[in-house]
Amino acid sequence: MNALGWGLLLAALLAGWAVLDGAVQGGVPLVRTVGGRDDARRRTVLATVAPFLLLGEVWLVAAAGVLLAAFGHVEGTLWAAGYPFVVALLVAWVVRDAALWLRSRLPSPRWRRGWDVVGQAASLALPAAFGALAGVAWVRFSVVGSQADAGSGAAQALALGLPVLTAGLAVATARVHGGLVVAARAPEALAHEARRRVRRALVPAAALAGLAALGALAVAALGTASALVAAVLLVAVAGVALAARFDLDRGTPRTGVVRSSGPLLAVAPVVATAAVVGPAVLALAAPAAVLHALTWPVLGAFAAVLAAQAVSWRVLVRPLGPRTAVFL
Amino acid sequence: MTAVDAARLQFALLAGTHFLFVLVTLGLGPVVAILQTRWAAARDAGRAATLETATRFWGQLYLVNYALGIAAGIVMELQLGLHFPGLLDVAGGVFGAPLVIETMAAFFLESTFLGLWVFGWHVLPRWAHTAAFWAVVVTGYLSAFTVMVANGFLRNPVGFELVDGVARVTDAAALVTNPAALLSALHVVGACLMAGAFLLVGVSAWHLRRAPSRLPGVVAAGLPGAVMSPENDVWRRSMRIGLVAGTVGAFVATGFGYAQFAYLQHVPGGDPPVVGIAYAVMQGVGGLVFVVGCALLLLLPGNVLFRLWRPLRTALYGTLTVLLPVPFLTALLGWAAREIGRQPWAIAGVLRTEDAVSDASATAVITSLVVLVGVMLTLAVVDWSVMARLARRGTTRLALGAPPADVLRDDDGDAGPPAPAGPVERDELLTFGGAR
Repeated sequence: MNALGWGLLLAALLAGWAVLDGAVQGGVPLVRTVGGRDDARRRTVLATVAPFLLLGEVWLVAAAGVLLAAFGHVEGTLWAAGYPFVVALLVAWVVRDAALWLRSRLPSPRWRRGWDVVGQAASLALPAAFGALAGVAWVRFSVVGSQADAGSGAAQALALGLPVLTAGLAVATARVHGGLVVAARAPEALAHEARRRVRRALVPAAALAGLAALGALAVAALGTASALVAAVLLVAVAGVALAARFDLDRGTPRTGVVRSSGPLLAVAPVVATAAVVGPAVLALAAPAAVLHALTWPVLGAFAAVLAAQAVSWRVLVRPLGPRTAVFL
Repeated sequence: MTAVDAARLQFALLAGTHFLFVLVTLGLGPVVAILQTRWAAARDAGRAATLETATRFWGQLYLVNYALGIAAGIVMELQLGLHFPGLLDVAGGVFGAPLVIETMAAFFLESTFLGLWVFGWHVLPRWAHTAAFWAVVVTGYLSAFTVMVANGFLRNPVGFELVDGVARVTDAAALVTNPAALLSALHVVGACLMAGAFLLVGVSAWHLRRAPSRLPGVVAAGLPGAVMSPENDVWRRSMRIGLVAGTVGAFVATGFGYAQFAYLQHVPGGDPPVVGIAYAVMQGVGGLVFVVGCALLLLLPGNVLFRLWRPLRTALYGTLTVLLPVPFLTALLGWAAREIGRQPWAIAGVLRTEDAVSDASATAVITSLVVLVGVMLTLAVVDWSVMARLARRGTTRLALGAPPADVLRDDDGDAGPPAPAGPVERDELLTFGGAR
């Protein structure tokens, strides 16, 4: 497999993480708002996103493994440029996991409500840190970084603004996606409430996607042509978000547009980033001999993982029923 | 403190924390798998119920431990790129291979199967559910082995050549059969089995020490003999499994510990006094555990161990509980000896640690040290205290594998204000029998 193949694998892993873990990132902040003060209702909301936790976060772990093995120099550059965001990502991730696993282990109401607050904050910080890191990648692996270093005012403004924009976009899209997952799996009383929150989040998500599209246009104008693809994608995603809002307002929440808007929005930050940074990242891939030697073990493992995950999705992702296992 | 010291200290503290969780994951995993297999195969209803309870109790502890283990592992994975990029620049082509296999093949599958096991509890057929946990155990061990291949390369670099200062694999088989990978991995497996065993024995002994040897009803009726409650049966079984696993583990850990001295004589690396002390402690603990384990195993036939003279028995149970941290501390020493013994090298004879560290400022590294280690250690301590609470609570109110309505209703008593929803709606909600 050449550098392009490894790049696509990396993008696929990140997109998988954005969809699966995005359900958790967007669903957990609804635990307190949709669940209300009743602990059983809160746990019901948690139960809708619980299976995505173990199945989802490993996609980012695997992506980090691919980054390390095939794009070591990219990792080095990105970690050096986005050091605080990497640390924030790790802290948010670890704290989110601890909050989810530990909150229901002890019966004390204070213990549980405390962890719910912590989990909510960490679930917002996690996509924000990831989005900011993606924004840093936009800067470092396009012409923006070098021009900002050379003292161009426009490039310096972009270098500051892009991470903020992509962080906001990642948070907003996860919110929509997670809310839709809760709505699809929860009993109607909770689903209705979750859909209300999704409806409110769709316009900000569309606005942020539009702004990010402008940012991508600016990157393209400075000289990285591949950012044009990102701009087009982001405009399309903004359109999907608005169409979903239209359908929710019409009172038809089960249309194809609404259903597909969650995953489409969730992968938008990853796909846009792949479009912007793709050419520069591929140029920094590991030597062909290293990439070649690792191809079959990694592809074989990925096939096995996909099979195991497909079985798990079939078994686990259904509306909550009497046979649903509640643990979180 | 320089950036190099801060980076090394951060790595050491985070890896040490991660290692403590790994010990339980790998040590308890096979035990839960065996318990569940015997539960799945049990014909007798009473025996099946006991084994189910044991599976769920130890499985729940396994999960609460795993939750932080996975988190600590995630933090570890990014440490190399974050603070030791020189390692990847020089040996990324060699060192990256086992790590990408670890994440893609082992850890990815492990987490997927664990998700299937926990959340597919009531959906999967019993045999498939049992197989899912065996898959978790196998991929967990594969994961540990690939990490040891990477670590073994650092300690005893083989199967590679340096071209323009960059390492390239020339012999992948040599990398995998490296004694620093193979023997050390088996040594670690022994240590993990021992740690899991001390947890099993310690917790079981705590419960057995408190359990009445005769049920109150039997005493009141004036009947002779010791009658066991079902819960006692769980602890006795766990104690037996723990004693076997601990003795085997001590044998394996000690055997492959000594076996490693052969290759260690030929690799560069300092031998500061702390390493010698660590070796002595490990040899002492391993040997003692093996001898005492054999003696206690001899008391198992005919349940002699559980019928010892009462004061002797309570003293023994108490001692076994107090000794619970011993294998964990010993394993930490062993890990420290491994890493300190390699210094000043990051890759023995190839790359010095000081040349592998990133050029991040000391302030940045110290800040991340305080933040990451602070968060990780706090969460670890909270996690251990939750595990201790769950261990003491015993087999009542297990959340793992219970029907959803039981899990949600179970905590009603102390879960705060009464539900705002009406009784009908709430009932519908709790049984998940809502509108669909």
